[in-house]
Amino acid sequence: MSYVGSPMYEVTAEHAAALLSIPVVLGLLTFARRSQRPWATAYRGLPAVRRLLVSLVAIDATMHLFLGPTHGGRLGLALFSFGVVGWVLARRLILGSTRSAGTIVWALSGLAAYAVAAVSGRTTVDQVGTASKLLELAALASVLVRVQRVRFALGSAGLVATAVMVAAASWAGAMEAGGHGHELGEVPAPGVLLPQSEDRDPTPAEVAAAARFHRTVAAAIAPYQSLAAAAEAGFAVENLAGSAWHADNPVHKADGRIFDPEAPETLVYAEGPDGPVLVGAMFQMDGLRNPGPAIGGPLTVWHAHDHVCLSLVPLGLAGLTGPFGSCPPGTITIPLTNEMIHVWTVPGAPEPFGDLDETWLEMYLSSAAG
Amino acid sequence: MTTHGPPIPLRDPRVVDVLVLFQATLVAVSAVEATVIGAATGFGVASPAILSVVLAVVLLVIARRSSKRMVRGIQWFLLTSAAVDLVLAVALGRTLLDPVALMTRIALPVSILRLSPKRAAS
Repeated sequence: MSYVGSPMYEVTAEHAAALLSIPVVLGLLTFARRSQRPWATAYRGLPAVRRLLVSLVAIDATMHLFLGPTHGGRLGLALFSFGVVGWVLARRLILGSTRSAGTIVWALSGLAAYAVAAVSGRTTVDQVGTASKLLELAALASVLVRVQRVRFALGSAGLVATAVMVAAASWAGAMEAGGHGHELGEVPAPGVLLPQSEDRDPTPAEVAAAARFHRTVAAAIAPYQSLAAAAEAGFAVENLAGSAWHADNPVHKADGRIFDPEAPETLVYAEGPDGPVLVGAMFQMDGLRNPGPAIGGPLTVWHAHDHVCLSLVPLGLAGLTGPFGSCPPGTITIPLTNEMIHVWTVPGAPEPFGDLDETWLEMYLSSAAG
Repeated sequence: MTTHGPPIPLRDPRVVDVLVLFQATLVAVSAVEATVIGAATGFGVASPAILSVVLAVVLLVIARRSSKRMVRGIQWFLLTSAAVDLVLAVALGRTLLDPVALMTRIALPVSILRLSPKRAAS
């Protein structure tokens, strides 16, 4: 079973050329160790931190030189220009004719431009883009060490704020690029994996089968609007909170029954003004990479999750792997889950399967109050 | 004309300071992300957010004071965590860690370990 995931965790085709910068710069650095050219001699004589800074700027600048042609247009020109300016900066850093301000301006402009491009959808947030921004953040860090205490405190705060801004923009860009549903052919949001397939119209038989299954599920789980009934049936309905609380049933998870409308593995509740509201159910497959039965064809698309951060103490969801590649310390990363599908039984739900529109749900909950 | 020059050493405490400061920044971002998720879930799972904040502060202090007593311990902790995730990725996902994760979770701590002195001066 092959899946399509969020580009945030992949190298997109339009950015792949930038990877060529790594052998190019490594070759240049090797050359610099041996050459007697003035710039190479000057490079060898630099303090270690300055050499590190030159290397960071050179790699990032070269990445942008490669990214320019693959993007084309004004964005491509801007990327290429940024690379050229980066190389000018690297040369001045080697020759000692520039101070920290040049690095700060260059790196901050690259980071800010990326944040704007990511949020506006002008660039795809992926591994190459993120790696480039990490190089710029590291370059900023290199001008902060061993500075006076107050400057260090202010600079570190600025560095962290800049990194948070870039991460937030990356999240926003990746979420915006991701589809809002779980439909075939969509670019998934971070953490969602969809089967690799083209979207198509459902057949009449698939429409009928999906509707029949939906009606059966709605009738089967209706009694569980009562939390007492749900608890008696084995669902973990203690401490319900939030707009999509998943109450698991350990017995149903282990019973080997697949997509049985009478025995969903999970119930989904939303916290309303008057208490929890049953909004649907979730069915799960056993084992990894086992495709769920798509009885409704493109209407019933199963999905899996990747890059899930799991806290072990206490056990619980702690988010998704961030753009910078990490889950919070103290958690483990689940690379792949089994497949699952949601069935929304709350009256008037825009989509009976897949993803439930949160704005609609909020409106529903507020209108149902009282 | 080229000659075989000596290797250029990077083993300088200031380079370690740069890398630790950079790492502290990344952990601080994780702390913000964990706090946002924690707030959204009513802090049912607060330990990752707390641990991230503590780790980010410790790393920031270490980066400033050149006191490397804890640097190696923290790197081993982070590397162990990355190794667990790598094993899970290979076993369950049949893949390696993402390129950025390899950079920030493997290459960065390994570089700090290689460049920092084994016996701390302070």
